[in-house]
Amino acid sequence: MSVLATRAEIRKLARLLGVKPDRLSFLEREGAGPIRRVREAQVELLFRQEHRLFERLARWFGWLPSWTLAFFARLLGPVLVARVAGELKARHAVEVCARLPAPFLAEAAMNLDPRRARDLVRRLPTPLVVDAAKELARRGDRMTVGRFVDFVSDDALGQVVAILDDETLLGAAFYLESRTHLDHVIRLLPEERLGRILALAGDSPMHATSVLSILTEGSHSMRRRMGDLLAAEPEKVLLSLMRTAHEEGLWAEILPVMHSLSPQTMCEVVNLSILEEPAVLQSIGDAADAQDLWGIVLPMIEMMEESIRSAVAFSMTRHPREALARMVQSALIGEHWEPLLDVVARMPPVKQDEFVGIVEGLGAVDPDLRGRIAARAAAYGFGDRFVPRAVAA
Amino acid sequence: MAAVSAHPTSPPPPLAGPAAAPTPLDALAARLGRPPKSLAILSTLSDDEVVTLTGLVDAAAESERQRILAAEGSPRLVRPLFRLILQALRR
Repeated sequence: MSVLATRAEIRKLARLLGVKPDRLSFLEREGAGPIRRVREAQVELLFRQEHRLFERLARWFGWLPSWTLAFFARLLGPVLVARVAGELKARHAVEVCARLPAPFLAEAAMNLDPRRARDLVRRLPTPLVVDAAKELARRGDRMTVGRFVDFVSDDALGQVVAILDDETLLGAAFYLESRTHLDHVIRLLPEERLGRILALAGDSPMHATSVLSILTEGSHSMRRRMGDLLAAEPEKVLLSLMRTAHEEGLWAEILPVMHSLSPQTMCEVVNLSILEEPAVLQSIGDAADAQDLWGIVLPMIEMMEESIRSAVAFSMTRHPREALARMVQSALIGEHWEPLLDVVARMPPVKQDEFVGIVEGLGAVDPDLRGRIAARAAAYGFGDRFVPRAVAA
Repeated sequence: MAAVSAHPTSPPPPLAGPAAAPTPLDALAARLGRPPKSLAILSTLSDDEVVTLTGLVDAAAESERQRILAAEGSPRLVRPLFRLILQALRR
C-alpha cells in the first residue's frame, strides 16, 4: 500500500481516537496495513465495552414494533442507536431506519462500524442510503462516505455515485476501505465525469493529493485510462499533480504510475517544465535509486526533450558512483543502454570515467557487451574514454 | 510387537526461568484484547511511541464509555431518564 493509503489510515485512526492526525505522524513509517489492524482492534475494543448493555437493549427493542422502536431511537439519539443497530436483527433494524430522518441516519453512520452491521447496511433501501449520503456530503464528511462504499449494495452505490458532487466523490475515494473496490467505483463513472473529477487536481493541493491517491492505488489499466484523461486537461492539472507529488515526497509511488501511462501521455508528463527544476530531479533520482526504479526511469528519459535530458544529466552528477552502478545494472537488465548513454554523454568527464569503469567491470565477464557499449559511447561522443583501457586489455 | 519405550527420546524441557517483563507492545496488545504476537507488525515503533499509542487507545475507550453512559446525542429532556436506564441495564 502507498504512502497516501497510510496517511488515509492515520486520519481514520485519529478520528477514532479523537486526536489530530499530527499526533499519530509517528505511525507513518508503519504502513497502512498495521495501522488498519490497530484501528480495527480499537473498534472492536469500543464495541466490546458495554456490550452487555447493548445486547440487553437490543433484546428489549426486538419485541417492539418498528414504529415504536423508531420513536425510541429518536429519543436515544444516533450515538446509542449506532451501537444498538449492530445487535438488532438486520431486517428489524432496516424497518426502523426507514422511519428515521436522513440527518439522524447520517449521524448514526458516523458512529457505526459498517463491518459489524454489514447485513444491515447491505439491506438498506437505496433511497435511504442516497439520502444519508447526501446529508454526509452536505456536512463535508467524506471519510464516512468512503468507509461505507464497500458495504452498500451495488444498486445503492451506483445511485450514490451519481448524486454525489465531484469534490465529495474524490474525497471519499481517498478514504475507501478496500482499494480493490476503487476500480469498480471508477468504472461506474462516465468518461466525461471522471475527467471532470480528475481535473479538480488543478484547483488545490488537497484535491491533487486525492487524485494521486487514486492513481497510485488504481490498477494498471485504470491508471492508463485516467492518465489519458488527465493529459486531455489543461497543463496546469498535470503540473499541480507533479508539484504535489514533489512536495509530499511521493516520487517512489508516482514513478510506477508514470510507467503505466500510455506513450503519448507519458511523453507529455516527462516534458513538463517542473522536471527541469534541480530539486525535483534530485528527489526523483533519490527515489529511483532508493527503490530500485531506474528500470522505470530510463525509458522515460528517452522521451524527454534535450533541455530536460541535460537537466537529468546535471542532476545525476550529484549522485555517487554506486547510484551510477545501479543505473548500469538496470540498463543491463532492461536493455536501456541508449537513454543511459545519452545521459552519460551530457555528464562531465569525471562521471563519464566512472561509467566507463563500471562498464569495464562488466567487460571482464562479457567482453562483447563492453565492446558494444564502447561503440555506442563513441556514437554519443565519449567513446575515447574507453580507448586506453581497450588498448591495455 | 515391540513395546514402546517408556523413556522419552527428546531432551527434557529447560528449567523455567523468571518470566520476562511485559513490553509496551504486550501492554498495548492486552488493552486491545489481542494476542501479543498480533501486534509484532508494529515492531518498528519505539517503546515511547507504543506507550503514547496505548495512552491514546485508553483515553478513547474511556471517552466512548462516558459518551454512552451520558446518553450523548439523546434530547436533553429525556437524557437523565436514559442515564438511569442505562445504568440499570449495565448491572
